[in-house]
Amino acid sequence: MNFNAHILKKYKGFDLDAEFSFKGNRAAILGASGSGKTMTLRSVAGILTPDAGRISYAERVLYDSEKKINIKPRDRHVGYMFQSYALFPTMTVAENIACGVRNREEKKTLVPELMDRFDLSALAGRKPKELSGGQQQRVALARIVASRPDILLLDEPFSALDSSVRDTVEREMEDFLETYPGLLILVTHNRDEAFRLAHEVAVIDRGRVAACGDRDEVFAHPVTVAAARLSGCKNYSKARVSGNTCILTDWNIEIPLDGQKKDFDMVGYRAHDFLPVWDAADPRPGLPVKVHRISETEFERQIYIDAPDGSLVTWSVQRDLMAKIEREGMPVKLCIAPEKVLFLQEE
Amino acid sequence: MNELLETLGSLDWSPLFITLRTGFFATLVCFFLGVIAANGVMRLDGRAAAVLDSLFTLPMILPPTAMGFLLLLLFSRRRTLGEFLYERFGITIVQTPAACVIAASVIAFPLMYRNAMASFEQIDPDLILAGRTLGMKEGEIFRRIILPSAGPGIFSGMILTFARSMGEYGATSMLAGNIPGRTATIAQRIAMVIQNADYMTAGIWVVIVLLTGLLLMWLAGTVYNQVSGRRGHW
Repeated sequence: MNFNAHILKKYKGFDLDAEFSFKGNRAAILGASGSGKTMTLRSVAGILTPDAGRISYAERVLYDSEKKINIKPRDRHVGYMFQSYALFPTMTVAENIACGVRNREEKKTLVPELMDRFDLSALAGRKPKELSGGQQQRVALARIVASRPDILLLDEPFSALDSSVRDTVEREMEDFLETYPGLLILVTHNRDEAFRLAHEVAVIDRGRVAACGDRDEVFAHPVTVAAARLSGCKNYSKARVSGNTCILTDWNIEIPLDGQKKDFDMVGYRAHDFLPVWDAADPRPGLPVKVHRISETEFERQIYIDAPDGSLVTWSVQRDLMAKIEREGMPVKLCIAPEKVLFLQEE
Repeated sequence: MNELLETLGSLDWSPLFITLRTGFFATLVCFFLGVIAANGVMRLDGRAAAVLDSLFTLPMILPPTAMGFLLLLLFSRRRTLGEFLYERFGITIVQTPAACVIAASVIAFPLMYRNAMASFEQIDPDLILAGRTLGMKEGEIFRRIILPSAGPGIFSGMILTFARSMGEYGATSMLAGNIPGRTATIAQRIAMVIQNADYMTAGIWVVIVLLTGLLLMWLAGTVYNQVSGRRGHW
């Protein structure tokens, strides 16, 4: 079932013009903070009214400015999980979940059923304040499921959680999603979350959709700098075409060009794709290694190198390579594999 | 001492009952109007909200005598509304107990409205939006989400409204007059006896309003702290 949206909204100095569509039922909107992703999600739920545009799911039009259609949020059957969960503070867990039940007769059976399913039965009489972050999220989810949504919108669902419980909650969410038949749209700034929970991704940057499509495609072959950045690519250089070569001007490197690519003005290169070389005579193009700083985590080391233009280039070194560096010292050069270069557009 | 007992023995207690009655009805009127007005303004955005907000706060800023004059213009039997009420329903407002309630309500209204507004503003808007996405009706959202959260603020607003309407003088004296046993409130009685240099009676009434006032403030503070509680002190 297709989900299509074109949302235009000017709001508090921000200009949103996002057009995207999803074919499957597991989607993510990926964007940095302030990119307009929450505004987009709120428009889908109907709790923010766009200035113009159109939103539809399957055969159902939720919003159409031209046809003056604007279905009320309560009739959209769109479940929205707020970043802070928005549990009703004066009500107990059971009462919160009961608020989602639309059908009066169902209240008696559905609430206990959901509390059992989300492992909340022991907490039925508690107030939201007395719950942990993970428990609060389960209540929010149970409450939404009670309202039987066709579309489930999750706004940064794990951002309010401590990193210690995050993994558990994410796994629970994955388990739940396996049983949920409707459309999921997840909003996040975290590419790993998007990767784990969604099959399709729309990348949003400064109010515009920079890329939209299959997750693997968007991550492997981003076409804009914004999309590349959100896919985790750390290094960028300005670039221009000169005959059969591409000149990476910031890094002072020339690489051969296969002739197909031409619409680009930037290139991206992932931090773990560099090929270290210890032989100064190696003819392949690369960056001379001038170490600026080394930052270490348990399994990985980030080595920051001064590029010719003065910017920093990040090189991720895995554990086995760390051992080699400890034995043989720093490589003299980081070579670039031409097939791994991302050709990008600035905007 | 003898003088005090003598004055107390011959005291006309009617101002106390008139004042309490006025306070009770004015609080009732203000509760409904204030909550409805604040609820309405919360649903508006930008300019309309700002204009209505100023309008609803106006009686607090104007001198009560100015409000009394405006009310007199409105309800005088020689003016449109006053004439209409009299001709059509036989209702007279000016110089009646109803005038006491109207004057007190108008003057005390901003206290109720402001307090209701302040407690509505404290509520996370996402809660209301969440209610809507879950399919709850607006009335249900108001009753089950907004009112319980705003309860303590609305209650302390009611106490202040009651206290303020008990002490109303300026607008009341213009619209209701000072008719003993009918519209003479404590505030007006104090003014009158002082003019007659009867300081003992004035003193007795001052002690009475002082005690009622303290009792009300204590009640408001206790309930407010019990239900919501201050977060800390500076």
